[in-house]
Amino acid sequence: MLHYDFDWSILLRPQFAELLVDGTLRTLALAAVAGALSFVAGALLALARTSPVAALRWPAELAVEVVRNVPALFWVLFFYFVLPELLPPAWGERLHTWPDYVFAAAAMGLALDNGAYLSDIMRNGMVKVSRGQREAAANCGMSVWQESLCILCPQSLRTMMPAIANRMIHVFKNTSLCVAISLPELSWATQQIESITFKGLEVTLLATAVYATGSLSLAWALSRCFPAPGLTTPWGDRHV
Amino acid sequence: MINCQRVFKRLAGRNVLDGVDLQVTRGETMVLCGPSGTGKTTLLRVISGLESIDAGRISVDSLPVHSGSARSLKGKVGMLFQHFNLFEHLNALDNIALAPRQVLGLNKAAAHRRAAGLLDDLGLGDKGGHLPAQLSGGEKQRVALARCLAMEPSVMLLDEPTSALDPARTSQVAALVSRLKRDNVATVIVSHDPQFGAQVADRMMALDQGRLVDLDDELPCCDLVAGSWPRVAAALGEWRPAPALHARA
Repeated sequence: MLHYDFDWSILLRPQFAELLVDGTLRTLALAAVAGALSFVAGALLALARTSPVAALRWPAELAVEVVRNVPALFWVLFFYFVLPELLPPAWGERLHTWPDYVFAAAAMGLALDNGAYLSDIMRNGMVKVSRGQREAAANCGMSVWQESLCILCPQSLRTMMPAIANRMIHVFKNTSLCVAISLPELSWATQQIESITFKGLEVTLLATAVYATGSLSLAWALSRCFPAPGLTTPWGDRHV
Repeated sequence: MINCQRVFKRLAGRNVLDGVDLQVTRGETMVLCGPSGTGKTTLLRVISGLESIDAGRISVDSLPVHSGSARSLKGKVGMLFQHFNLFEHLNALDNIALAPRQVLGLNKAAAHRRAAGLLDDLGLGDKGGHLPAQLSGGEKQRVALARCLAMEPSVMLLDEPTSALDPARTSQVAALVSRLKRDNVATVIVSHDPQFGAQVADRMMALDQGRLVDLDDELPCCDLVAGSWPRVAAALGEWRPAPALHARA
């Protein structure tokens, strides 16, 4: 059996500690931006999929099916490597030279992937609001926008939020895929430190702890803010 | 006010509305009766613009009504739904005040004042803070009625407005219908309650196989009285129209 000497002191070396802290902050920023973008994308797709207008409904259905059946990593790679090539050369060149494009491409890729799943959750939440209430809103003269904002969203968000929280945790963990486009997030920092020090276990265990702590904190915060109606928490409280 | 000309509507392979002609003038109250499943609710839905028609023309206050025009009528045609359709996440006061705020542009205080006044009129002054789930069937119905009235409609369509009410509350709704009449609101009521119909109707009609039958015209020769339609026959037995109120549109 191979013997491995743990050397936890490498984590405290200033250059590596800085790399890890920067990576963690970038991971959190990416999760926040991608999560917010995916929420908007999911809501728009869900509205289009529940629209009575077929010209909105069918393209949205097709988009969701295409996005959902392709790995998230592909979309990250697509936005970073392929999209600039599809644009007019001048625009593509500008994207390549934009220093934050790697972050933007990562955020768009993760947001698109998560948005497709969120649209499913949101659509199901929307159709749970009875047709009768929508008809009553129409009969009162409310516009589709007013109906969505005042009737649909408040009622459906409450039932959707636990599932949306799950997807947000996925986004946080999926940020690690962006190591494929060399975005200096936490996983990338881990690989850098391992390649320099050959001390992979220490830094990987630390990164694992950061991901687990982040996910658990997010899950706890979301479950406190948006309790699932009718479910019992592990602490025995029953949400109403 | 309400003008339906040769309205056809086909549902599940049968003509639910088979060339319906109907005129209801300002201040007139028309009670529509007939067995379940004859298209009474469908007629209310097409007048309110919630449902499309296959042929014919409908107008309310000279405005053409078609499928999808419910929103553009801006609450001018109030509809009391059979199942109330209250907004489950809002309390009674907000259920009533929401549309006046959003559609008529009233500020919050004015909309709440209007809602509280209507709740008082309907005997629900102390229920403003209750969610629909905390209200009884009769209370929900009155909140739904108040929600329509808050938009100050010129046409009211009431689908079974007394189905969940006790006799005392039924009289309250009858008084409210009288108030609508005084306010020149054209009202169409679908009801299975003969006493209520007799109390409020200027004109009583029935839908039979998709066609409107004026019960007053058809009564002498109508075979309904012979027992093929017991509820309407019973209603006819109770109903004595006041001659002064019985003018046709």
